[in-house]
Amino acid sequence: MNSKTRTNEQLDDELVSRVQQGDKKAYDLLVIKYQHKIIQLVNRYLKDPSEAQDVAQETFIKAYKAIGSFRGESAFYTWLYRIAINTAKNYLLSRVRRNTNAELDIDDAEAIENAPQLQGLETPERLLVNQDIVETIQATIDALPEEMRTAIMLREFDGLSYEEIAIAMDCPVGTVRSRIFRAREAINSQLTPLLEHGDFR
Amino acid sequence: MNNTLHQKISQFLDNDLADPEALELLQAIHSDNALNQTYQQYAIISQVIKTGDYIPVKPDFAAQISARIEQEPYHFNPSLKKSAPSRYRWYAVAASVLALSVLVVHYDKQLTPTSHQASMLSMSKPAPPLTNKTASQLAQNQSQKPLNKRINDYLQAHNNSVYTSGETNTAASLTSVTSYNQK
Repeated sequence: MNSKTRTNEQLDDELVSRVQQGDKKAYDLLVIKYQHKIIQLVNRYLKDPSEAQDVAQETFIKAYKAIGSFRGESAFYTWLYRIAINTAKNYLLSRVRRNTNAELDIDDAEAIENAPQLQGLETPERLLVNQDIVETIQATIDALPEEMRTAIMLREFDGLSYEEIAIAMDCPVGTVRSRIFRAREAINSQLTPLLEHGDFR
Repeated sequence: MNNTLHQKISQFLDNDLADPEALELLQAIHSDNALNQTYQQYAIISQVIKTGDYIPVKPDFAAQISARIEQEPYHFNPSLKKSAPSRYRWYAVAASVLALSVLVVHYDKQLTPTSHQASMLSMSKPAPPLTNKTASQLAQNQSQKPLNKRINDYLQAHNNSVYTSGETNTAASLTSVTSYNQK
């Protein structure tokens, strides 16, 4: 476990402790922190972004109701992750039951997960917006100065820490921090007009 | 100012922000819509680079959860405070056991008061003048009768009037009591 992971878990522990003592606003911060991860995780099962958000919301509500029993034996995200997986699997089963009226148990969710005919279907319009956004981001990354492109790709694609990137690029950590930030700002400036005309943003 | 906060968002997404700063930033994101939007978009960029896919997040995703949570009753037992009640619970168990043992001893005394009284009587009072007949009868029945019965018989046979009339030698009786005690 590196120092950054420890930092992350300490912040989670602090927020969970506050929630357990009745601070509901602290839970809002945990939702903000993990919403994207949980939506992506659930979407891997449901293959439907709209349903994935509903199930992700259910996940957070379930986690809130159960947070009194969270003892910190695992990291908060690990605990939340398990709730998300179970909620997604149960949702898949209920969706299949609605369609087939078949008798199924939770183990069947693994098989359903890989059955394309049972997965949610995206609308052509959504697929188009999705494709547009992905292409814009990729085009902007390609147009970035090399040191910025390398820094952000090493971080996002290869998952290296700032320290590791600094060693790989032979520059100070502060420079890495700055290059990654500037890369994000450049991509964001191209992304904003697209998202403002999208369904959700 | 915005640039600084945006850079902090960038660092936060990469786990490069210390706890107090991260907490401060999350609070700022929570209360500032523009900052929240930047955070969401940075997260989208991250997601697209990693997965090559874009999954939109409703702008009010967190707000909807927050609204539902507001309706939830607060019924948690804070885990941090769990240890204190459990310690008190052990104290309560220990106190209960102690109280129970006191009651048992007390009850036991009530059940067999005569044996105690008998020994007290024999030690504190002088040996009564018994007739030969009475003494032999008591000795005969001693092993057969229950203790209560034996004490009752003893007390009935004991003639208190000898002390008030001065017919008995109290010093001699005390001597015999002392020797009994030593024995």
